[in-house]
Amino acid sequence: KIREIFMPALSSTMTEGKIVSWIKTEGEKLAKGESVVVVESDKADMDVETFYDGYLAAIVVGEGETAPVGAAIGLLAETEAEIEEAKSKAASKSSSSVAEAVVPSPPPVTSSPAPAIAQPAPVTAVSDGPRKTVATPYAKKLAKQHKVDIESVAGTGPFGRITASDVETAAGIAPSKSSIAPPPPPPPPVTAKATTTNLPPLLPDSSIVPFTAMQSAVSKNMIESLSVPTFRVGYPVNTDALDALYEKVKPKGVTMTALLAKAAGMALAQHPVVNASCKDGKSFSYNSSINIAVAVAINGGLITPVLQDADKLDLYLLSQKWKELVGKARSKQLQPHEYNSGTFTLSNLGMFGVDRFDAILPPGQGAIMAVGASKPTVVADKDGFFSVKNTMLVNVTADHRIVYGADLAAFLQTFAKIIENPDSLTL
Amino acid sequence: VQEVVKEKQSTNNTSLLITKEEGLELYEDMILGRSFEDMCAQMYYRGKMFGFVHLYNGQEAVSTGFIKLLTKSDSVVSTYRDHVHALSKGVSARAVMSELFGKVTGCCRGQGGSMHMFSKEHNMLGGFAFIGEGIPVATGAAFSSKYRREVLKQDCDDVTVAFFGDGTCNNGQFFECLNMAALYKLPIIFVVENNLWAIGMSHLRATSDPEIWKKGPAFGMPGVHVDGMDVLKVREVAKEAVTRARRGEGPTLVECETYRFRGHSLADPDELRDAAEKAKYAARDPIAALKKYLIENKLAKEAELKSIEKKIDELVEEAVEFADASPQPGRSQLLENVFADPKGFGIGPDGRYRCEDPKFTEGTAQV
Repeated sequence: KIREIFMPALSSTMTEGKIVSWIKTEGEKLAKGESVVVVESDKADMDVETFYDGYLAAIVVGEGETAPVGAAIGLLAETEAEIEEAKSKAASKSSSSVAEAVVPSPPPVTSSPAPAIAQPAPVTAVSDGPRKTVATPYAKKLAKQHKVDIESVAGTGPFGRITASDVETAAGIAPSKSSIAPPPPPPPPVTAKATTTNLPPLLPDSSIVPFTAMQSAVSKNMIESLSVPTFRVGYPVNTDALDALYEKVKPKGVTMTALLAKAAGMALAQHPVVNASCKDGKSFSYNSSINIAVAVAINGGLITPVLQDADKLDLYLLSQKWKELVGKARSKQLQPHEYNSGTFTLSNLGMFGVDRFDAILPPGQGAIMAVGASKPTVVADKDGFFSVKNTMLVNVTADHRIVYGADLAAFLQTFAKIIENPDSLTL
Repeated sequence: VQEVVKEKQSTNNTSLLITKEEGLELYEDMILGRSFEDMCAQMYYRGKMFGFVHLYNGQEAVSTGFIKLLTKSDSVVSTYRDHVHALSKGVSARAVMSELFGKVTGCCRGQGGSMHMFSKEHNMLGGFAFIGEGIPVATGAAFSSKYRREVLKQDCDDVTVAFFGDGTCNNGQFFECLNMAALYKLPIIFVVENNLWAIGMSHLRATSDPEIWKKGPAFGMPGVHVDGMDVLKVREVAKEAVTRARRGEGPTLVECETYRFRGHSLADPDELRDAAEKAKYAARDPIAALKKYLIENKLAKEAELKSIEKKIDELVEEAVEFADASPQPGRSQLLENVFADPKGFGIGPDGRYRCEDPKFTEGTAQV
């Protein structure tokens, strides 16, 4: 009986294997369980055993050659008499199946035909073999696809490694997004929806960087925000008194953010509709507490830690809490309730010198306040006297389904009064 | 106990350790284990099996030595190297092979695969893929036997055998279960198949006191060390431990020193173990040793053993054919045994699988 020695699936992910070396030579007697051949899989070099007694009649796939999993790589004759028969079978095989099964690779390096028994030759081959071609798996795949001899490609990667683009250059194709390249990571579905038109092709050397989880979440929220009818109301606020207070309390660890959040919280307490939200388009949801979310830029994104009960907590506790939240945000340790429980958002770009901007209303909230820088400004009072006062522009974006212009104006007036007479902030 | 066994061997030259029938039964079981695993290697390399497959070659004396002493209602709890434990316990080669092929005729209807051989009928309580997680299950099974006997007053003297490896013995669950089993005097035997290697980590490098059997007395139970390459010695020790458990005298820890003849799994090139060490244990092949004993003591003739080998070869070949021809599980089986009531979660009100609905993952993808 003549049996095939087949290319084994040495792991569940292996699709083809390379013969590193034949441990046995043609004509040699084999005992069941003996190692016959060393195969390089996608994970390791492994000795492959014979499952039957017999003679290694013919080697179909030689050293250095590759065959798909399951293909015959050799023939095993049960008796010595069958060796010749197996040989002729092998000859016909190599003319038919091998042509497609075996990928031409350089003639096997002339090593001794039968390496010492069972010694894992491949391990040492790395160091003492002739110059070994190092190529990324993708480059190897491409080389095969384009029938490029990988040995002839000059590698430009680290330590002369052959990269996919080296192969593409050698194959004379521009490393562009052709059909063979794996599709770029699909953009998050939402952005696809927003830009259904064909984008112009990327400029050469441009790169596509997929969103991180946080960026995807931002993108999704931003698209969602388009379904809410918003409007904006701006208001100038005199900050002389606030600045003076800030100078006094700064040594006690109070930050401007805490001051603004406290002021907004106190104003919201008097105008609950601005702290409300519209969940279903049919009703007002009045929130039971005033939780001020404050936008913070962090590396590669944006997050809004929430100061809970900003109206009730005193300024010093609020400042302490804020410091804690910012620390957690920077180290990405915020718990969900610490960034998604906001009922009103505060966004401050004043520290960058921005004098005014408007913000996008985050879904699920009624209003967001955008605070610009406080600057010395010439103002005329009601008697016509000019003076220079520190003024900052505050711009609130709100959901017009529940907050109307007059509501927002009244709220801003209250807010400005608190800022202009800030003693109540420290109470 | 090892001493005792040796003594018995030397003093009772006339009376043999086993009868002819017992000898042939042990031989057949070990051959089945070996041939089955060799076939698994071949089928795995042919791409018929998936994932990782861990073979038992070399350790047969332990499975055969213990399990062939058990009754059908006794329980066995195994590890990820579980095919042969299932076979010894009486699960058919067809059912185990089909399970490995992922076919519906497998002992877990193709849903378990290599590391999860389970058979209610044979009280094979499962292969457990994670290290040590089978030991508490075995302890629970032993507890239920004791409870049935002492509280429910049922006629129950079942014992449980828990198999696990040397690596597991550095795991907390091992110690916790030893404690509970000794405390409750449970009818259980803890069998350590110490094959000296936890994947690629030498037992001697990983364990402060490598003599595992010594950990039994620390919990107030006997600890026994036995040559796990000798099925007759294993059987002697097993007999005593099983009898002790059946009598209600509590657990025993048995360390069987054995060796696996193949890599950790079929994907392991097995480069870390020294060739000299492998050769040393290969020379102590438990099957060859039993064969020698049977022939030298005129318990069996060469021809009888050959015919057993042939019978088993055919049985295993037939198991492969059966597994190959068996149908794949239906798609509807996917969520069975995953949810208590697939209708509640996996199957929507329209009677269709929710996972087939393209909207199934919508809304969760962005979380």
